[in-house]
Amino acid sequence: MNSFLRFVLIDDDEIFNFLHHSVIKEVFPKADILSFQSSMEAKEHLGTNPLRGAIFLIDIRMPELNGFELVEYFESLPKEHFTGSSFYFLTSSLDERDKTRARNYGLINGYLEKPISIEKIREIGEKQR
Amino acid sequence: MNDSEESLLKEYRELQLRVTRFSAIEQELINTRDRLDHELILYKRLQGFTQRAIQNINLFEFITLLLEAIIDIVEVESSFIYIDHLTGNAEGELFQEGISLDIARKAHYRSVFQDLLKRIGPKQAVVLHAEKDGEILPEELHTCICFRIEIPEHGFSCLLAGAITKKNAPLYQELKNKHNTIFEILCNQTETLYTNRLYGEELQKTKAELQKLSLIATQTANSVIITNRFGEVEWVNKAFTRTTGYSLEEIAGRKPKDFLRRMPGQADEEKILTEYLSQKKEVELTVVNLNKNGNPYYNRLQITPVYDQTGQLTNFISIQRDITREVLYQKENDSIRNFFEAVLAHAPAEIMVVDSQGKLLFYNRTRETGMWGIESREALESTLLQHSDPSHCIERLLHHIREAEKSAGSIQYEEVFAGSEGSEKNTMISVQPYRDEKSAENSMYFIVTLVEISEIKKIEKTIMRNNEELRKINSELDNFVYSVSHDLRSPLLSIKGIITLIFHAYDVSSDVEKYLRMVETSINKLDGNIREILEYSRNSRLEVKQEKINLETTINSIFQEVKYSVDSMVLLDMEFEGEKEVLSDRSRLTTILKNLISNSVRYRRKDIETPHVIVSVKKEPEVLYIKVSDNGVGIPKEQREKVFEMFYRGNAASSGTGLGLYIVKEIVNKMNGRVVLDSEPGKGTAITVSLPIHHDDYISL
Repeated sequence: MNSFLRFVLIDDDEIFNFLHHSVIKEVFPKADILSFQSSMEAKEHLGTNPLRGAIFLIDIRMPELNGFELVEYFESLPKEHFTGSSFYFLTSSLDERDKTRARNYGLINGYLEKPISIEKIREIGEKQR
Repeated sequence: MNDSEESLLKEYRELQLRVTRFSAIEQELINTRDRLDHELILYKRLQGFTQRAIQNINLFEFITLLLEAIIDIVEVESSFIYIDHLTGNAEGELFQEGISLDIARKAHYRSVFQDLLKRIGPKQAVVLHAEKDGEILPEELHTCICFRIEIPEHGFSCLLAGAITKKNAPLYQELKNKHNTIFEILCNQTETLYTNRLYGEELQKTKAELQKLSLIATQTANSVIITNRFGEVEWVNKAFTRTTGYSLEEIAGRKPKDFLRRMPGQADEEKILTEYLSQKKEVELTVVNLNKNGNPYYNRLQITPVYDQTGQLTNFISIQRDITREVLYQKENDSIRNFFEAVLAHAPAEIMVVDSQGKLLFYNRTRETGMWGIESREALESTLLQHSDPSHCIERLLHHIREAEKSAGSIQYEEVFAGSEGSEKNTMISVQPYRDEKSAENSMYFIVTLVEISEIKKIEKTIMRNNEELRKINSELDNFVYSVSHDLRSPLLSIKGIITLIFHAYDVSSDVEKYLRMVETSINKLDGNIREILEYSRNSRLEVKQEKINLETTINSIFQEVKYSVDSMVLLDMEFEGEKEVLSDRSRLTTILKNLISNSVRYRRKDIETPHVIVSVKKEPEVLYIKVSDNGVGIPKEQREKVFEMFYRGNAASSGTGLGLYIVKEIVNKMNGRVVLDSEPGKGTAITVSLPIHHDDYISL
């Protein structure tokens, strides 16, 4: 039941990446987790390597390339690149404007607040199956 | 032969000669008698014509009679009358008798006689013969006798003619002197008869006209005075008696100025009147007269001298009208007009009234004091040509007037005038079409109002600039606040996440769990502080929104959140009066409720079994009342004012930030509401927030 789930974590905060990694492992021990501590790195890697059926958790406030800009780049890629994948913003921002802006992206499935709970991870994981 | 025989013979011969002579004389006498008899007949015929013609016959009968008379009296074959003016058409009218003419021939004759009329002199019979005057006669005529009648005072001329055709000439005797003579007599009599006819007609007309005129003079509402050439009254009408109180009997033979007294102080009018009348010229002016009772009245008088045909002055006719009411009305009108003009002259706005031709009818400024640089009653069009400076402004104004006329609605636009020393003057101009329904022409006017807005423009620019600056600062501040709060919360949230992870991943001892819980509580508190500061800063900067809120669900979700953070049992309850839906700012209302409810929970009495918090909502048409009451520790009297201050904490042991009630008060102020605090230490606190309710129609604002 826990097999085959693949998560992609993009957050400039190392601790959050570690934390989210641990929470996911807690719920889905067999899950395959790909972490990026830099959004530029994520852009380069994912831009050349298509990733299908994965769950993306993307922070908004990041240096160099913020979450919105990264999602804009993802949206510019051909659809087949991410077939079957779902995308979530995961942020500690309380800015209502961020929430409003997030709604405008067709690629985005949801807006999650940090810290993400075990229940939430289970919910989105179940949804992906 | 002897002498006696010879002398006898001689005597006989002489006698014979004498007899012959006598018989010749006798024959002569007989001839003369016949001729005279003949002439007598002609004269009798002439007399017969005259007798019949003077009877009251119409013009056509007269002409027929005359045509017959010419044939009878002149002993000719045919007769013609050519009248030059009768129908007013250029060809004139031809009547004829004794000869039959088809239409074409008749037209030829008409032009021949028209020609003849010009050739021959008046008052004399002229005889024309074919052999010497062939070119000017119709070819079939042998002889023609003509006479021209002229009555210049009636613009009348006509030609009478008798004629004999070549064909029938042998049957007629040659025209002789007697014919000439009698024809002349006939023609002269005709002239006289015709002149009399004309005068008769005129007389009839004049009489009818006189009757009408006298009716007008008698019945008109205007006073009429007729004087002789010395200015003495001959006749006055009824209206004169009505106006002045003087009857004709009283004043006949007197001069009007002797009885119709004038108000003193009209020297100018007196002078004009005297001057014109002494020169026998027509005069019209207004004077103030006194009637018989001594009451003054405004008298508009017109005096006309009357001359007879020989140019002799015979009468003066004076027509007078009492115009007191008009004058008083005019004076009142003028004073009202002056009043309004004076008021308008001091109005801060420049007001013009223009007609659709661009003619200026009114302007409450002068060339010097007004922005338009024109004088009242000057046509805008001509001003346009005269002044080059504001001409573009006037051109644009005329354009907008035409637009306003087309759309029949008012138009507003801004205009810049050149001020002194190269400065600019900003103005707001409004063109309002106005249709004068009462005027006969139903014409359209345009009320042009100009207000100088240079100062307003200047202030507007400054405000716009400041506003833009503020907006920028505000936006920067917003970004700053969110960035700071984000950066502050991030590490907190990671700590929080790690603690959760520890609980899940490790089997911790009760001591460690206690410490970790304490860490978690501190983190929650710190996060709460950050959120509150954020709320405070949001409230002060963001506009109040209006959206539909269901209070029951809102309060319920706050209850859930609060319950989550409290370990012990607190009874949370709510009650409603009126609708549960309200139009308000969701975020602010939520913050108010959250703060009040968590305060009540936070300051509950720990020593009682059932601490409770009750939220009562009462919705009235204009006001929403929200009361949060508890049975908690309460607030001492001396602290009641202070609890709303920034960073004030009522209880040193409390876990609050000291911002809660301050934020509530700030938000309520921002929403134009009020907060009332009621508390009794040891028993509980009730805080009532009243907020004005907006209705649907305000949403768009």
